[in-house]
Amino acid sequence: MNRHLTEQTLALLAGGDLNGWEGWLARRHVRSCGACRSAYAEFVAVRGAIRDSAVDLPPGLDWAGLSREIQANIRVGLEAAECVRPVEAAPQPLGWRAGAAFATLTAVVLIGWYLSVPKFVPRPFASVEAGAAVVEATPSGVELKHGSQGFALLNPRANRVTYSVDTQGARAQYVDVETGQVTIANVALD
Amino acid sequence: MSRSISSIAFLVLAPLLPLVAFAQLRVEFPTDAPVAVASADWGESRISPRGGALVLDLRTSLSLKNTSAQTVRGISLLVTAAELTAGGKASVTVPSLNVKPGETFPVRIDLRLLRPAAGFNAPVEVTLDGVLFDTLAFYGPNKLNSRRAMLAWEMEARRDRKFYLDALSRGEDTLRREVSATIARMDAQPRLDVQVTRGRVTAAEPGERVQLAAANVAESPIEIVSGTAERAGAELRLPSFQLRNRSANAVRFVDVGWMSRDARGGSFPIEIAMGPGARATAEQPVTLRFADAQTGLSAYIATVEFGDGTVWVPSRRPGRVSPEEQRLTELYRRRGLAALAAELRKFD
Repeated sequence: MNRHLTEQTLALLAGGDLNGWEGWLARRHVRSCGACRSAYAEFVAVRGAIRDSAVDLPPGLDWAGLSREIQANIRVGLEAAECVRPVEAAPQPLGWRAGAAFATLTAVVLIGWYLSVPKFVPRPFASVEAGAAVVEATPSGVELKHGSQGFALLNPRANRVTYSVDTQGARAQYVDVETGQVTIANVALD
Repeated sequence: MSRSISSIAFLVLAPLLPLVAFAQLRVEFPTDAPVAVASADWGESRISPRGGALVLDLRTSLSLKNTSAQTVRGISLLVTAAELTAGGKASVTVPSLNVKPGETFPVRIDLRLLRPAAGFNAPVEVTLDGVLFDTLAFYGPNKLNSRRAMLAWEMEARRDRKFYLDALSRGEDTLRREVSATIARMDAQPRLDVQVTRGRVTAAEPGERVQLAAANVAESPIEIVSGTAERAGAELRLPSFQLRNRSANAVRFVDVGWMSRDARGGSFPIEIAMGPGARATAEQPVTLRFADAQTGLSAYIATVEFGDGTVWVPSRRPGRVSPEEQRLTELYRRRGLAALAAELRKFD
């Protein structure tokens, strides 16, 4: 091979990109040809200089700032894309006043339902009945009922309640734990 | 619909509760009463709906002052709600007090009113029905016969304190034994389980006339000569007693106690005028309905009120625990034997 290698072949050889038979012939020629060897050495030197300059980053470069700037640019891009998207007709939302009124009504109905559920009514220990009126001794006290009306004397905090009944009404006898006084609650039919 | 109305009324009324509680209860004592209201606390009251009605729980604590020159032994407060209960009455009585002149003492009244949701009209009235002093003198309108009941409880209290003081004089162990026996008697009492129906009822099941056992004590001024009732299954109808006045005094009231074989008990209060040595028959137009069939019922004299207003009580009441026994045993449970002994000596 008497002809000199082309610059393209020398650049590929310097970059290690010339393989196989072509690479063997080119390396053989460079060893025997001074001019080509000199040109090859220049390619290798230029390549090293470029690699070194890539490793040394510009002084004062702020990677975090650069990252924020890139993210901001992405968001700006997305928003800009939204602006140019065709507008679709959105469903008409319920007004907040109507929503609040509906929520309040629901709450009232639920609370009213809960409160109107019949509560546990303890079975009376004893009762005295005359016509429509009845006096009952229950765990919570002595109660006089007359139709949908009535009143009861309740047992306050007491460890033990003793009940008694006669033909007039019923009594609860207990010792109030706070005062230590024995108290007798009596409810009579008349 | 009515439930919804009551619920809405509840929601409206709840914020006004203290005002409602105050408006629903009126406490009024006569100006010449030996006890005055020092203060009233309306705390912890609440209101809630029940079906088509409203339930008002009124928790009241009164602080009362003894403005008399005597020691107060008991007080009875009359609670009336005529509009609600067609003439029904209630009373809260605190016996076994020892309140010296000028001292104050608390009385708690916990009331529950059941009213139609639409109506809040006349309030419940709390008035003084009676005050019993240590001299056994009585003050008050006595609309609910508080005098007789308070006198009987005071007599029982004196009897019971004397019994325990006698035990204490024989040593603390004796007192402890007697108090333990009373507690055991209280624990052994079965739950009262009886329905009393006043008036003659049309019986579906025919009954048989049976004799009631008469548990007479020698000291009693009244003797139960005989007692009968019509028994049908778990019912005892129309009990009747033949009584004899063994005393030299006129009698105007007899409380005949009854007790079943399983120690359930009650009483028949009988207004009756009997001269010395007189006999009388008292039929009670009532039906007692028990949870199960009764094989026997015994009767005894629980209280006698004489024509002069004095009261007799038996030296030991069978079965039932008196209010004073309950108070003293509770004191023993909570504070021990030394506190019980000190309390007994305070009244001595």
